Amino acid sequence: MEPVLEKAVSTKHSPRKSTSQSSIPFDFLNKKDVLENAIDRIDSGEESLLHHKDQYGVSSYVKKTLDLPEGLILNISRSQSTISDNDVVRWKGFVTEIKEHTFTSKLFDIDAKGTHEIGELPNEKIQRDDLNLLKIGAIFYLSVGYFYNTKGQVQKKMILKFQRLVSWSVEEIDQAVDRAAYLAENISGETLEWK
Amino acid sequence: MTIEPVQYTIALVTIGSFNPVIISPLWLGIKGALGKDETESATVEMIHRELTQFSLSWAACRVTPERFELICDSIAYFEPTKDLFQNIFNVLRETPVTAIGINHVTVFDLGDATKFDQFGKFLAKMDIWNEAISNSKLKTIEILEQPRGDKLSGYRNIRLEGVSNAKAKYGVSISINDHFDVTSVSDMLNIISQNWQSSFDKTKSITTSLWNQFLKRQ
Amino acid sequence: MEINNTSPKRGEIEITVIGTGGGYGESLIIHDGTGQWIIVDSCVSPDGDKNLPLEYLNHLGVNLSNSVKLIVCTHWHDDHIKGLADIYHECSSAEIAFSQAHDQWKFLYFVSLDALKLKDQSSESSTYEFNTILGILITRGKSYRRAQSDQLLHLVRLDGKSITLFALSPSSSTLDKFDEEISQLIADSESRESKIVIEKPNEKSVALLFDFGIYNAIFGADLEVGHHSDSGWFNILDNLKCINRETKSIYFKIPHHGSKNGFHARIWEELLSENPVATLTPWNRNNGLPTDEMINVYKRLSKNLYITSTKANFGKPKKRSHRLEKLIRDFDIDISEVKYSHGIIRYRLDIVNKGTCFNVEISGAAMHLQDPN
Repeated sequence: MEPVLEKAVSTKHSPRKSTSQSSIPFDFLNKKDVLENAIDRIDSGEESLLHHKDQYGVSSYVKKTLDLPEGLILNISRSQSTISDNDVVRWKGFVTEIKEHTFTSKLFDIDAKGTHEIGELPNEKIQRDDLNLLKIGAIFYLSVGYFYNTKGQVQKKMILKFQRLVSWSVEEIDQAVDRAAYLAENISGETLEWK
Repeated sequence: MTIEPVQYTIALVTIGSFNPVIISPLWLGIKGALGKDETESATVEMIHRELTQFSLSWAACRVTPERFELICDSIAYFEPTKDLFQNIFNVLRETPVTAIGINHVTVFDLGDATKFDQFGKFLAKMDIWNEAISNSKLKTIEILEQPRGDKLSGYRNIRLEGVSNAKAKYGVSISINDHFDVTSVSDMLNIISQNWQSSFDKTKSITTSLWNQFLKRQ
Repeated sequence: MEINNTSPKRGEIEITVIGTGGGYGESLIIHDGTGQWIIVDSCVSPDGDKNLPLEYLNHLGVNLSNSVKLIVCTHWHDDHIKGLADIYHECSSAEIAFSQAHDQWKFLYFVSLDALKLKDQSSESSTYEFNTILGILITRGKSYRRAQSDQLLHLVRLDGKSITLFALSPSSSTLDKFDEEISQLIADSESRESKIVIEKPNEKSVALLFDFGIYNAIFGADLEVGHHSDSGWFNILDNLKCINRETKSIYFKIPHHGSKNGFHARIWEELLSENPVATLTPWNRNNGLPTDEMINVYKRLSKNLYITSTKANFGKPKKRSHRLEKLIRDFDIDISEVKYSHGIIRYRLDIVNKGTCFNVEISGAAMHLQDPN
């Protein structure tokens, strides 16, 4: 198994060029020392290894695809991971009407194609950050389900997040202008004469 | 055991040439990719010419000169993660990039040691080792699909390994690296928008097929 | 498909209305008596797998690439245009007709800008369809037919008689106002994370007059009555040349899902024969259209009143696990599913053999609404 695996990995892509994610992160240790060590080790070009322990209690050192020292990880002890797919429903929606206390929307189940739904949601559930995004046509994501919190406890949660996109770039506007010019040059309307 | 994952993490990883010091929560806020509260509550672990790393409440980002990673482990925020990735590269349109990977890391709980063992035997011919060693156990297996079934340039790499954590004592992690070769940021953004949903659909069909075949042999 | 798959014969006019229950669009399919077909608008099944007009024509064994001669896009709404690009692609010898703002460049710039949003998946899919249609138009090197009041869109001759399809709307002044609206829409497009919502799209909707010799039919699309004499139904009633006042219509596709805004007594008195064959298609706005009140109004005006399905059917959310259903309720989220109800009503009339009334067939969720009297 081992030789075959090595060969498969090296044939078309090197570990550095792989787009695989880094190893699943684990708990953050001594931040200050590790940061200083990280900078030193990166600057010195020393490769780092990941200490991995599995359910057999076997430790092994596995070469990482990303040169990061042990212990310096992504601290995504997220509070929002779900128990399983069965315990969450996700929609993408857009606002069709805004009332005093609620807004109406068209909702599309992200995980189950087919018919859509009409939803009326309370304005108070909109995060403060997103209030200025509420308008007719605004797109949002809505998830309702059972999620773990930071303490590992299960909570019922409704997560409403409005879509946020950066402004058009000059390049994109130019693209639209060019396309419009191309269409205008190549499209013409006709009228039929009737005698 | 269930055939639904108990944990699902996605990571958007792109290979290219990056300047890590540019990408920060403050910069994302200025560009309109994050709200004010999100920007202020972000945790910055490092901003350095060789490494930038920060976390939001729903995603984390890590950038080195050769590699950009955006990770999310909450299904409620998978779509905003894609939006954030697109936002970053809509601004950094001139960045040289050569590849993009949509990574799906799913963890399934097999329930007990017996099922865990059976799964290892289902995946590989473990009895071929009995002549030479005793108590052989499978730790990792990796499968490559190349060329891709959809004819796009790239490959699909599937890696299975045993994991043990709070959610799955006898867990199996199935990591699917949906890798696409790209020539520019524009190409990369098109790939993402055209293949995002199908990447999830394919992940589901791979894991479902695997579990269905395993369960049939029980 | 339940409906009989016999094709109309030569000299037999066909008007087929396909409805989807109120949220997934509607389409009209017309046979002009000479073996040529016209498709007005499009609709697809909610899972996107079936293009309903194409499914119907394939059911009849119609040669799409040769026999479909005109496609009309009556307006911009999602539910009228989804799948139209596929239809245009399949029907390779068809002309296409639509209305657009007078300022063509500005209109195309708006379409191009909105199409960019597709990458962010924040675009109304109607712009995507439209963009694709324009691409096909260019590839084929064809012109589109301008759909505007009093414009001829289709003409054939059958036994020396002309069979025509005219656009009754939008009026010129409506298109002038659309120019102004496009400017605002372009400014609104700066916000790339929202869908563009066209204001009052129904004013720009293309109503049609199908004249087949001694009889004719009016298809009201979503055209509302309007407030000015130079727009909406008032413009049709007072200003158009293509309408022959001596020949009233024997068929009426009731506009705007039978809403009050699409109703005016003058339409029924001046344009339609007594007791015309009339078709309603429901919609899911607010409490649903048509309202019971309006259904009763139409029942008094026509005993030959049909509807493609019971009015917009929605109430409960989609079926999910008990746990999730309870959770949705716990968060005070009021959700209702817009159900899909596929209904077809087909009307055929033999004009060569001087038929005097339509032969009507209904299938799926469609029904004949009986006059209570």
